[in-house]
Amino acid sequence: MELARLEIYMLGNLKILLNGRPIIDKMSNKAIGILCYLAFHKGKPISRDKLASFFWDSGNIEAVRYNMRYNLWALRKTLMDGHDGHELIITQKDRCKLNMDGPDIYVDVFEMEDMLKAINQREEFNSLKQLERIKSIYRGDFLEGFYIKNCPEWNDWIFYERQRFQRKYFEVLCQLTSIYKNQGNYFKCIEVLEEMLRHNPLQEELYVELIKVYLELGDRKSALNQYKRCCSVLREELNVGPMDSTKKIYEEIVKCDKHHESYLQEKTQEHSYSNKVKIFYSQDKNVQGDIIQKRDRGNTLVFNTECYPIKVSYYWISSLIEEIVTSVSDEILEEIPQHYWMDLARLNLSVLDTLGLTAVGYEYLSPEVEKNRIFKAMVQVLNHLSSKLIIWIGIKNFHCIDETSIEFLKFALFNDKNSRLSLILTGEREDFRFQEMEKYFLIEMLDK
Amino acid sequence: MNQQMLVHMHVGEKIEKNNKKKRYRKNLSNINLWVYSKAVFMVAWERVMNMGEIDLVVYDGTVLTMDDNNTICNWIAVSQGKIIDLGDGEGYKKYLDYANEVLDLDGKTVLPGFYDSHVHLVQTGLNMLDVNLSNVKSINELLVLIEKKAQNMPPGKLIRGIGFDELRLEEQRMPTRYELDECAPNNPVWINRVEYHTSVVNSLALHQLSLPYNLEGIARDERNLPTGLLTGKAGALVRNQIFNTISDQTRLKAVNKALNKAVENGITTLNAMEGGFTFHDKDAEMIFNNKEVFPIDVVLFYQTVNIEKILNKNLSRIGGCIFLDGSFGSRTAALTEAYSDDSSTSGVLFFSQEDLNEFVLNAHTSHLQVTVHAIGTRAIEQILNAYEYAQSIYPREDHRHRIEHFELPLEEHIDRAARLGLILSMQPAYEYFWGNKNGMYETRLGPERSRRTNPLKKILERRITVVGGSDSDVTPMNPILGIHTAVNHPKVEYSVDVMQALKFYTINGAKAVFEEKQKGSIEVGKLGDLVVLDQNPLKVNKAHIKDIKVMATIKEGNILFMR
Repeated sequence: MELARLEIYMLGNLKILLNGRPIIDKMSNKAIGILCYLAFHKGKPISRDKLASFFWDSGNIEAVRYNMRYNLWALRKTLMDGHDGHELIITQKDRCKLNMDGPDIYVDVFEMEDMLKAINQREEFNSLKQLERIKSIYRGDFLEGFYIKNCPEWNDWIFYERQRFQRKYFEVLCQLTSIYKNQGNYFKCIEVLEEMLRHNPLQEELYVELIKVYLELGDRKSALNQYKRCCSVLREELNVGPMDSTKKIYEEIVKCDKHHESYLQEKTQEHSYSNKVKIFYSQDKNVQGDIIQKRDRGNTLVFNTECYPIKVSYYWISSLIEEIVTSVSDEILEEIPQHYWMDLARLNLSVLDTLGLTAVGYEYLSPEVEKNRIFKAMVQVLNHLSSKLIIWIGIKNFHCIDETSIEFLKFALFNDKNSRLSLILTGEREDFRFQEMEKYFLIEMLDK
Repeated sequence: MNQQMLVHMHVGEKIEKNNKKKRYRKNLSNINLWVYSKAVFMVAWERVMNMGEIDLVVYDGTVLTMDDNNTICNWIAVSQGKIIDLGDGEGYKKYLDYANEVLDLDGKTVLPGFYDSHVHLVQTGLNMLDVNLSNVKSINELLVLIEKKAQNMPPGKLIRGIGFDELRLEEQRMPTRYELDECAPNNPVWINRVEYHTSVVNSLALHQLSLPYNLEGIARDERNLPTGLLTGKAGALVRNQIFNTISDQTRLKAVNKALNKAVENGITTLNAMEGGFTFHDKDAEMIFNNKEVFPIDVVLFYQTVNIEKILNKNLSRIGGCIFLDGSFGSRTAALTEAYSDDSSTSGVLFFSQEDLNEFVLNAHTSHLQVTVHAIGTRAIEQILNAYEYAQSIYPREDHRHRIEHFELPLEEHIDRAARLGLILSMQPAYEYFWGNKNGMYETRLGPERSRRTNPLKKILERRITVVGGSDSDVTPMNPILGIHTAVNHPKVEYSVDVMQALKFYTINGAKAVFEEKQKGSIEVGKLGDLVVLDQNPLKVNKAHIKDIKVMATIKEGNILFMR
């Protein structure tokens, strides 16, 4: 006979499944409590008196013993204990335990503890997959929502274990942010930091971490928003301002805005852009492929784009995508993973037609995360194309380019160390957009 | 049924509205003839003819108009919510046949409807729904009150206890989580200390709260288990979570309860200080979204430093109790020297001068009216610095920036406030509760400093506009008590005359929110907001001003309350 499978999920709202079916509604709260306690102790025999003291006033010993017997019986009945020839709950005269040897039992807290133990033993606390698994197991606080009135010892046990698991969970989240950050996986890092803030919105250090991660991404605006968010939460909840060290970071970002020595410039120096990238300026608005052809004969891809005096975010990026999908062969385009194209299709649906992809319901992303996804996808595309060919991108009327596209160019030039990429910019050189680029990159006059 | 109607019903409506003419006529004796010029009469009469009818005529009273000349007359006619005529004598008679309501005052006194310029309206209302623990003397008394409340509450519903101060208890301690479990096993319980920032919860509440256990302020026993006592960050987070769960419907119910109280005390306009630290932004949002349905005027002061939020809502003012410091009661008001009964502290400042300057300047240059809470000398110094800084960079006329409380200023501070043209929003009733011999002021501040609190007379001598508020529910919404205390200040040299005190709650209140052209005095063209008193404060023995009763409250010609 096939063994019953019992699953107990104690992290978050309590869930107990027998052969895949929920059974909580079939048991009294105290019977559930007994089962959870036995399961939690993983087959260790528990004194029946101790168990009884959790749930019943010890004034009348006979009544307590009767209640205990009755609940154990009810529990076994619900669990169909013994039906398959295996006993799930083994009761002795003064002890009882859950039989972990025979039946198929899964308890989420075991998995979490086993995984933490394994990580610790191997001294590999940076074991990413296991940490991520722990994060997914922890659906919420220990036995969230499972309270039994007039059972102080039981409830105190829950508080004790709840604190313990929560502490471990927070440690795991800390480890994850640190690993993600070291790997440059900033989006994941942001997700985890946001999760930590959901638990504790008053922890200033988390906002500081977020600010730093956004600066690493070159997203100054989001970094400033995090600072404002931090100030607002601290003022409204605690009536305090941020720490001096946090203020200092903010002041450095603002200084950067005013073209002074700045945090971001320091970052820029740290993250110098690739020497394979060249940026040229030409006074001739009609400078086109012939000049390019003279410089790089043969394996060259030329994308001609133009900017207009309209304030539509992503406008230029969208036109570049269109240029790419119409000029590059399908074979090359198809070599690029589909999910990058799906991200780019958020901007330009022609991607779907060209590549024969089907639009599916897009998940909602915050504007910042969506932007970062698009930027990253675009960099991957350029990177892939430049691994095969030398890329020239002409940007006519650069002084009209939209703000988001400028951000993208900076993002791409800092992040993509491999592309063989040249830009030719035309337009009004005194415009602030040129100045913004010149803050970070060398713009050479195009030698005809 | 709209809110206005609800209030009518609650306070016992005496006169049906619109189209039903019902008149109250009593002794028409002692009528002095007021000689009107033909021109004035014709203008008023023409209005009546054009409008068709009169909302309300009140006559045979002593009408203290509080206009610039302190005119006194004896009748008023209100049409379409506004005063269309007033006078002394029998001039009212021409309106009687057109009046929906006629009120014979029988010698009573009429004033402009009162302003209470500082009320935490939502908090006042919510506290009225909660278990009031301010008078309990022992843990047992507290537990009995909670148990009683639990018996009348559905299981699972949160019980909030407020105003608790363990120092008044014989045991001198907070209740434990386990004690609260026993008296209310089926309900989460949250007991908030009188100063709001410390609380204690029972096990069910602790279980239901999403607490990060690494948060500072969770008290623990020797087993490392939470005792239920929450202070500091934990106290703040929990308070926020609890106020977040209160529905707008409950808030509205609470506010209506508080407004009934306000109306019974003659208030027709109040300044509601809502949102932000200690309170909850949902309070402010609820007031913002419902201000049109309240029976009296509620002027919102959104307590935030987020200027963008205020501008997006098209509000013209920011602040209220943005706490620059705390209070004397909790020894957190910022003094220049230590507290007399605790030499270890001289209070706290919650803002750096730099941060405050930046906030005030930004709000000032955004053309907002600004006000903040400053009680102690150091906090007053700080806000004066900030206003001076803002004015030096961006001079503005008629900004009407305010300071709330201004309890312990230096003489120099009064001069600076005068130079800046500030409005001081003060709470004279503080002196009634705390200003007497051996009162809280003297205990905390010692004899010398406590002689300098709330120096009303000195402030008026510098021609500063003072407005009166209750800071409800720190003191009750009762302008009569405020007027009484301002006149009978325990420090006699700071007492003001009755007319000055009346202005705190009428015309000055209107000026403090840019409403003096519509309200604050009884003049033709202004709203028919009136309060009827059983005695004339100018005539009654000043020691008995507090015994004056509000007989009726009239908002735009509608009688909201009549005793």
